[in-house]
Amino acid sequence: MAIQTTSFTASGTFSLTDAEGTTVFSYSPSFTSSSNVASISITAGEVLAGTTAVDILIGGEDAAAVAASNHDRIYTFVKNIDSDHSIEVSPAGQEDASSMECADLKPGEFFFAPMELNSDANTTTSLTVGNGTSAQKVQYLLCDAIDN
Amino acid sequence: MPSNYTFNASMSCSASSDSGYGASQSGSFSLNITQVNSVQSGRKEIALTNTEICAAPSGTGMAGKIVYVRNLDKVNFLEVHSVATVDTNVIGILEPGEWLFTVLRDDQAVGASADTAVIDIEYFAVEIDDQA
Repeated sequence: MAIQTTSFTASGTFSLTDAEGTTVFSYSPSFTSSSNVASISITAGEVLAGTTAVDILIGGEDAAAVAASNHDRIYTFVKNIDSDHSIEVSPAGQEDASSMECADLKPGEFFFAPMELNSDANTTTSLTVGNGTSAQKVQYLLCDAIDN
Repeated sequence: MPSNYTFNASMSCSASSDSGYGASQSGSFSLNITQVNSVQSGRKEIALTNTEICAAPSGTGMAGKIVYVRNLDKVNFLEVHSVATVDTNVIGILEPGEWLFTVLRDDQAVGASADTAVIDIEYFAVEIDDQA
């Protein structure tokens, strides 16, 4: 049986400057994961997150791939590419006023984390994005990560 | 504290398979923050029990926070969670060297807990106002 090996790289630059132009802090972290020889999927795309939250499944719509993915750790990048309203990012089933939100992103903002989708007593296998006001366009990249 | 801070963020990420397939995403944005009650950054020791990274935003007009956490340990993983309770509302699980970045517009604290031994992190947490 074939196996799929994947790796993931992330790099960023974050800085805060005060009103006088003084840099308060600046960080430029990066990492490259170890090779994951049990990876199931790399899933990337764009979705319209509606007023009813939309689930994003690692492995796409294939039920076997979704089930086989490591829901304990998935590298997750989500960006609000729309122009008017914020979106909420959370494990599926935890949206709408839950305190289990992982991010609230205004237009242009992004979120990145090695997410655990099934923490607490949550048995979800997917990520959800939504907006209560109007549909918003969202881009995403998900990649199976090695378990902790 | 002085008002009118500017926060800049940019990042890129890519996933690749040994088959040669790859996918990447990137983003950048700037945030003008007109009221700041709290800016924290530096290094912090994270215990096995909940260790607060930032308190719940408070004060007039405060609406959330931007948070970055990087696991500086060489062996053990780290859990980052909202509501400051271990194993509750988990935002991310960070293996050594890994990091997360998020914007949260809520009134919850953010905490972290180490798995098997005390861990050092690199972090920042900035409260943001309701206009940011």
